[in-house]
Amino acid sequence: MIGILEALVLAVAAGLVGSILGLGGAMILTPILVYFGVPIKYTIGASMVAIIATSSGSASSYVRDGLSNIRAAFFLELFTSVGAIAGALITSFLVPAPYLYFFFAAFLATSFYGLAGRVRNGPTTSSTQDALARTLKLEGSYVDHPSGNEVRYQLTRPLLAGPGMFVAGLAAGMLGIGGGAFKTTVQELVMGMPSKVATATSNFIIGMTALAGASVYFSSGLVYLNLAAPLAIGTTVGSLIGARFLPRLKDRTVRVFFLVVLAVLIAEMVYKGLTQV
Amino acid sequence: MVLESAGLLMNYLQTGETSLALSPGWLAGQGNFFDFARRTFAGVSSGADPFSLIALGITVLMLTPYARIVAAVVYYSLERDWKYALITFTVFAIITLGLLFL
Repeated sequence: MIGILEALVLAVAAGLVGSILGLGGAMILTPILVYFGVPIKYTIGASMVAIIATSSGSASSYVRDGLSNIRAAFFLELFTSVGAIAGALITSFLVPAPYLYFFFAAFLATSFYGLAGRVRNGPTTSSTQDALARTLKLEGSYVDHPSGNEVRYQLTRPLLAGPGMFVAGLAAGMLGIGGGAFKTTVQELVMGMPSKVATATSNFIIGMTALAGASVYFSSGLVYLNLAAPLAIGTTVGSLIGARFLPRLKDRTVRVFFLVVLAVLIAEMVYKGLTQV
Repeated sequence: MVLESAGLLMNYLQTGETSLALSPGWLAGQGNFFDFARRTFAGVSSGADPFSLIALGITVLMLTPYARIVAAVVYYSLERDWKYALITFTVFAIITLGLLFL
């Protein structure tokens, strides 16, 4: 079994990569911990708590920089919190089927192709809002660091993003992950959110979604404090370092990095599925 | 984070334990989160031990996003932005029900 110090170091690395990508970091950390012999359900329970730390660490920094869209975050949280609770209940009370990994690999692959297309085409922010987005005042602006320009944006199709965010929450709750990859993709592709705003907003949402999922793991007796603590400390430290980097990275750099990590995650999900069938 | 680090360090100094032994003693226990928080505060007030310190750190950590939601409900209510007061309150209700009953 892995030691506390090793778990801490792995968590720092996962938190760093996770916060740059708007992921909770658990997608990277969970399979590594399982590889070192930590039972999957305990890893999921501890990860769910650690994700709150990642989100809290970087969310405050993003909010300060004006990157997170708080209104969009709370509207979308309506869907992710219900999804997270449902997902955590499924993992706690139903045996997860191996083909579930294939489902996620397919889902990640869809995100991969969607984003790969947009790396070539560049970001497309929507200039027209639908009626609900106007009513909900879903718009904002942020200062793009490399250029120093203020970027104004309007979001659209919030209702269409809802089911996508529910699925993101469901995946988060079931696998003890942030679900940031799904969330960022939905926000960008459906709502027309700029990449950096999507990452920052996703980070803000992740903490609340993880709290909803963690409530189920707590009552199911799946949270070991000596596992949750080093993961929480490590991911927080990692995410604080990551949040310092994000505003300085170019949009394209974030996307390409995001694509590489997505490719690794797809391979990992397929491998997990194949070894468990 | 400081509390969790202190708890882990204290555990190491007391037991010399560095492996991740997932023994029942380290389990957060069953019952809802508010029960856990109540037990934690009671445990800390009766003396600091590694488990209590880490449990307190985890409790504070979990209360952070919860406090953020409460703050949003209060903010939008004070701003008389009733649409978002309702949206944030609904999120608060969903998560509170989860923490209480699941």
